[in-house]
This record gives sequence, C-alpha cells and structure tokens, in this order.
Amino acid sequence: MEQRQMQEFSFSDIRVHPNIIADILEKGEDIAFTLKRKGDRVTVYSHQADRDEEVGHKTLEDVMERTISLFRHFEENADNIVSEVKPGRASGLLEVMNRLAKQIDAIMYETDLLAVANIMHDLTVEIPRFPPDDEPPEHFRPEDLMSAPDAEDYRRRVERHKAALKEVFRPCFERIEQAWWNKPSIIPETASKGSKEPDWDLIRRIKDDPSWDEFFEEIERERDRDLIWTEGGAA
Amino acid sequence: MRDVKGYFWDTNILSHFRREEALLRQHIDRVSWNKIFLPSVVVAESWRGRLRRVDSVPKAKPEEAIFPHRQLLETHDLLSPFRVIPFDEEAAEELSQLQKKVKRRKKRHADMMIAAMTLSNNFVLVTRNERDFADLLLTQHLENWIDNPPVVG
Repeated sequence: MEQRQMQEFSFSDIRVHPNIIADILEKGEDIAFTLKRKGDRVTVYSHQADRDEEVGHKTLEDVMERTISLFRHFEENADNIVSEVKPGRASGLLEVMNRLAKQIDAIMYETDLLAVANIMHDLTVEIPRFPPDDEPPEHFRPEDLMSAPDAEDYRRRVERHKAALKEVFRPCFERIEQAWWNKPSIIPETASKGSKEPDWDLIRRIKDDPSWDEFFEEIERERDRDLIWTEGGAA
Repeated sequence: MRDVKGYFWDTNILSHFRREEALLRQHIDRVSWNKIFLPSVVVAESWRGRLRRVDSVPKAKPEEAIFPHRQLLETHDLLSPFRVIPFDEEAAEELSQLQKKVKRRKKRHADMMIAAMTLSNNFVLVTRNERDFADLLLTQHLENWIDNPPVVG
C-alpha cells in the first residue's frame, strides 16, 4: 500500500485522547487512519495497512447504510418478495422479521448491529430477484471493520444506529406482514365442496351424546403417541 | 385490517362444534362458512378413530356393531358440510422446512402436518391447543374460538 506523509503533528495538537491512539497502535505495527466526514461529524477510522486488500474496507456506517437500504428494499418490494419465494420461505421470512424486531430492541453493542446486518445479508441470498447489481458480501465480522477510535462516543454511536434501524425496520416489517396476508391464496381444486352452511339439526341430534367426548379425547391421545423428532438447533 | 383467506379447524374445535357452543357460533357467524376448512389430517384422524371402533367389534357379537356403525354415519354427516383441503406438495415442502427449523425435540406429527398446511395455504389455524403450535406458527396465525370472543371491528 502506497503511503504518503501529509503532515506531522504531535499528540498535543489533536483532540483524540493519546490513550486511544496508543490502544490502536498496540494492535499492530502498520496502522492506517482514515478520516470520514459527514456534515460536521468527522470520524477517525483505523485499519491495518497490510490487511486492507482483504478486509477493512467497510466502516460500521457503511454496513449500517447497506442494511438500512436492504430494509427499504424489502419494504418497497414486499409484495413481490413474499409472492415469489418458494413454499416454506414466506412464513420463514415473517418469522425472521418477528425475531429481528426483538433483536433490534436488544441492541447494545456494535456486534449486535453486525448480527442484524448479517441476518439481512442472509435474506438477500434467500430471496429471489434480489437486485443483480448488489453483490452480497461475506458475513460482516467485527475484526474486518475499520475501527473507530472515538471510544467515548461508542454508546452514542450504537444508539444512533439502533434508532436508525428501528425507524426503517418497523414499516418494513408491517409491509412484509401485510404482503403475507395479501398473498393470493387459491383454494386447491382438490378441496372438497362442502355445503353452504353447517347442518345444525344433525349437530343437535348428537349434541348430548357423551360417547363423542370420549371419541375426541381418544384422538388427542392418539396424537400424543404419534411423535416425530424435529431437526433444528439443540433445545 | 388483515384479510384472512381461510380458517383451518383443529380436531379439538370439532369437539366443541358438536356441542354447538355459543362462543364458537359467534365466530362462525362472524366469518363466512365458506372460509372454514378442515385439513385432511383432521378428517383422517376422525375416520381412523371411527373405523378402529367398527373393526374392534367382536364378530361373535353382531349386536355390538350397531352403535359403532351408526356413529360412523354420524361422523360422515358431521364432516360433510366442511370443505376439506388435502395435504399436498406445498404442505410437504412446508413440513420439511418446519422440521428443520424447530428446535430439536419430539413433536406431535399431526400438529406438524396441520401447521404446515396452515402455512402453505396462508390460513389461520383455529385451535384450543395454542401452546402445542406456539413454536410452529406465529401468534398471528393462531386463533382460539373456544375461549376468546370474536374481535369486534
């Protein structure tokens, strides 16, 4: 990596606490810094200079930006996404959204933010017709991020991203849920016809027959005996 | 406001239906009867139970066959007003997904099949055993018409 000295300065000239710089330098010998400005906000990132060809290209802000755009994509394309997923996946998507709601509420650390980003990443792999120009990255790992040595701001930074995620997540979830309910449901042709209404006269004839209670109880007992193992994660 | 395409009844609801319980009737009156379905799994359970009783009659005691045969017919009459939906390829795919998804434990096979049919048909399952389906279906896909009155509005 080509390096260019731009300016010499001493610790006393900068407003980042020297301990933070020291902590970062302890992580490796070749540390590169990147300054990123958004309005008045300037954040200093560091990454190991000899690793930046493989990792360290993304900041947490980049990851969150992508995640938020994914939520927006899901919101805007909810009907298509829900109607086109394979059988078994639409309900799974709704369940993932249900789980994400709890997960976003519980965010406390950067790693929690990355976990949400990774779930959304997984969904982009599962969902058909995802924008072809979007190249899904590998899972985001904390060690692959350019770090921000703005340690005193850590909590505020996480809270800011959490709030941003919550803001886009809620309408996304609602649209996915609505799309699930709107999903066309065609009664299979193989369904039996039935009648226009129940035969209440017949029902009154068997209403007081106690053997029916016993009959239904026996069905429940039969169900209790016919068990299968599920294959999911350990209970 | 969600538009529920159909309601599957679990077997335990049939038991209350047979008693013509008032709260259940309120629910039935609220939704149109053509939105109420039985999954073929429930029908199979009922027939299996009745046929077992018919078959268990000792051949040497023909008079004991009268009652089970009468009930066989009553069962036919009880089930015939319902539209029945068969377990199909999509339900099989849903079942396969559910089996992989649910934490490793023993589950009642019929519950798994009914949950899969509920998902593949995009229906709501009406059951009194909500607890048994809690890890199979989201709460939005479960209703208890026996203990909970219809939601007005």
